Amino acid sequence: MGNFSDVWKRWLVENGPRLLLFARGWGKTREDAEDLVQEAVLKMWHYQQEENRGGKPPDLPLVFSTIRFAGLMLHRSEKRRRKREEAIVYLNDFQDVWLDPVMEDDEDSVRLRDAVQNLSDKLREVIVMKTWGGLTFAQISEVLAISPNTAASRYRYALEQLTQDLKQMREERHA
Amino acid sequence: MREADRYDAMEKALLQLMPAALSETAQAGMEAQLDELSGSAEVLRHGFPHWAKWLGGIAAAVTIGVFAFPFGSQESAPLVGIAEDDGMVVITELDRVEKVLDEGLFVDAGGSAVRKMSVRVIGESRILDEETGIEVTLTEPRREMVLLPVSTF
Repeated sequence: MGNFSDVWKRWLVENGPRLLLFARGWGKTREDAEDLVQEAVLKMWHYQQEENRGGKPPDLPLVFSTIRFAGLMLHRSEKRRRKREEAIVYLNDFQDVWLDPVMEDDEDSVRLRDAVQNLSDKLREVIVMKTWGGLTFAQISEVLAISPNTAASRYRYALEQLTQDLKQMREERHA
Repeated sequence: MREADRYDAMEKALLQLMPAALSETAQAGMEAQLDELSGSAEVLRHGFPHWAKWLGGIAAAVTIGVFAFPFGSQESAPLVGIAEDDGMVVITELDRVEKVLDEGLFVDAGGSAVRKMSVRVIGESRILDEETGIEVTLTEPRREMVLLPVSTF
């Protein structure tokens, strides 16, 4: 049974970063996002233990769906909490990044990272699932309960927006 | 630049960004949780529930056997059946009376005479798990007390 645990650990090492990236769209902080990932992994574990599922690690689309659901729940409770604590101002952690540029000195990559983080939730989650999750538009459509065409449209629109953002950033840099 | 080429260039640029890893604390926490869950799954998969399925069916059959067995060192008739909804096939169920000890006459609470018999029974069940093909023989020794009304002396 030790092997069984090891399989899940290897799966977590392989997929943890992309799950975390997706969860960042729902968690206010990195810690919140990691909690969402952990919650999803726990739910998936129990789900996969049920009959006929063999206890193996789940397919990614299912985990994305679970994180999204957990994120929605978190948002609801956050919204209620914010109403109670409107006077508190939260400061951003500027060192807390969602994506690591492969080349740290590549300024375009850094700007692109910021542009991805600034995408609207609807566009960003499609980009994340497609680019780093490796999901097809059909799988994304199931996760988001939208049509595959809508998923593809959002993806193209997100690419277009990122292209424009990057172009604008370059122009501002050289101005 | 064509639209498709622009998208292609952007997709390549995106792949230059790698999702940040889970923090060491989170990774370690989740791995510890997986170990813990795995331990409980060990029990769940190979311990109580697995055997409980078998024992549950056997218990019922054994109970029937106890009340139906004839005294003496003989075997009751084999029972063959299919346990419900769990894929376990009961191949044979036997209640073997190993030893009968006459503990003498007693008077029960109603004033009637009874003969008290101490019976050692060995319950044996052969069960086949259709899913895995594993066949297991379960043996359950037990001691029963039987009170027989005595009408003649």
